[in-house]
Amino acid sequence: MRAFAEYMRCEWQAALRHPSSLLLSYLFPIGFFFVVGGIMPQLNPAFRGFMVPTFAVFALLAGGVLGLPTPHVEQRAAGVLRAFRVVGVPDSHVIAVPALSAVLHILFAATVISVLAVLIYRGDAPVHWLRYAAVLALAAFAFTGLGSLIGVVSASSRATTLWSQLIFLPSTLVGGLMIPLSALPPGVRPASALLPSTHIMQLFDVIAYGRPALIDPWWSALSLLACGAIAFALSAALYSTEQRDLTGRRGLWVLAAFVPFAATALFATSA
Amino acid sequence: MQPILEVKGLCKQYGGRAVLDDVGLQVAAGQIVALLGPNGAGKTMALECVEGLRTPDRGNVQFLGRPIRSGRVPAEMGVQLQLAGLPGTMTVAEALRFVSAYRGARPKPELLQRFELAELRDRQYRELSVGQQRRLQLALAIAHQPQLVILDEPTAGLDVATRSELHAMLRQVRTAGTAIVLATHDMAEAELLADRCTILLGGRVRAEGTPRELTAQGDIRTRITVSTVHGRIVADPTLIAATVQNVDDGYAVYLSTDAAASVRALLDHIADRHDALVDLRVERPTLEERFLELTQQEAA
Repeated sequence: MRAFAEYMRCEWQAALRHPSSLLLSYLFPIGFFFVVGGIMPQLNPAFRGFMVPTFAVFALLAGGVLGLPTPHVEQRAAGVLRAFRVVGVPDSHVIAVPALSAVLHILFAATVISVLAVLIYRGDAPVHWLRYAAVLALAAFAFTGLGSLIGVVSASSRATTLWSQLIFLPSTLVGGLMIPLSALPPGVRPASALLPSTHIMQLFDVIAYGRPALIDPWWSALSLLACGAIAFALSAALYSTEQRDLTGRRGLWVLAAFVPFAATALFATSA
Repeated sequence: MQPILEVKGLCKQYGGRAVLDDVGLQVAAGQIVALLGPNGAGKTMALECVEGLRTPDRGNVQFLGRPIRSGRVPAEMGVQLQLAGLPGTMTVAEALRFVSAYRGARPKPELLQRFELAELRDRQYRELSVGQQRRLQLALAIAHQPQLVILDEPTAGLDVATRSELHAMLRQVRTAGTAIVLATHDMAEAELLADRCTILLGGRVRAEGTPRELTAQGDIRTRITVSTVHGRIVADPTLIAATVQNVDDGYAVYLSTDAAASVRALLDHIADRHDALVDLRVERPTLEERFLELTQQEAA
């Protein structure tokens, strides 16, 4: 327990000292919040209705999917993970501790941004703040799971960027962040339903704001939970395999974490 | 002396090629054993099998009378890997606390003092020089007072002064009772520090013994360099049981298989000629010369 706590303390501080972690966990989402929050309500007044969860999900996405994988790949390249193994750090800690630290950082950033969005830009406040916090936590679990899996399967920083952007860009464009699912062209909606951000925004609508949703909230919640669980389980299994020198082409394992969303898109989307 | 580490018949194939072939090694308490070999000789692979990081195809590794469990470095063993670091943002003090926690030991700040790292305790790993990083890695490898510490190329890439500092620290570690297995390319380092040496070539042990035993083997002869007042010494090399290597600047250099007899004959020869000795040096073959000889034999 002392060892886990010590690792956790180091990871927490590393995220504040490492320039790219600091940028992606705090500076990038906060900068995005101030710039887009100042512009979007003037272009689209309806944006105030969903700006609070949009900025929060953007912060979770940036810190979890873009920020979490890079240090893992860098540490592997620098021999840090081998040194950890020699010291006796269990494989489970190598996966769990950075993810847990990232969850705390991105939840903190997302909470601050959510409150600021209400206070500064008069975004619609959630009706149920506690339920809002519960969806935030679920989203953080799914995104850090994906970030963790990308870090483990990526052979290089270039591969990390590729996988992260493959999730990040569609999520910001058609994942319900800038345009609600209901406003998307019908042809785009099935693709949108494959993205975790779409389900998170749908859950915020139903659970925190009491609005109707196009996707059954239970399916969305289960998909996010399953995505995070599959991603973390695969991260742990593939990392242990890597330590036994059984590495191979593993990048496509990332797609396994999207199976729950595919199932939901097939069976539970009324859109 | 009872060995604390005993390796027998270690074999490992990698990519269809035998990387280790019947490798054996013994280390007694408080001993420094050097594992020597060129790149690709199998040193790192052998060490990783000993550390439990790799599973050998065949063979037996016993540490403190117990077999090594694959995937777990024993608690009584400290390891400094060749290509390993720490997170760049971790400070020296944090690294000590972190490693001590996972090794189940109390962090000892005096260790930083001993390795001249106390003033750097708040500096991040990425801000340390290469020499300071190596000192920290060594300090961390022994933070839990292991009975054996395995060091893979600990002085590679260091300047002469830093290497010398690290050598002194390794002697301190040995004096404290910890045995050391040292993989190195540096023959002078092995000759200076090691009680015993094992030379690995092509995954096989080609020679084993103390540095003195190893240099006494082979065809390389002792070099005797002599200078006299009148410089009349190269009369009859057969008389002194040596061959003349060269004569230059008033110095004659002989190569002898029996240094003691040759020096005696040489001194008699100088006295007979009513000459007087100015300088006399007797140099045994170095470990590097012996190593090169073995490498050439292997290549042939």
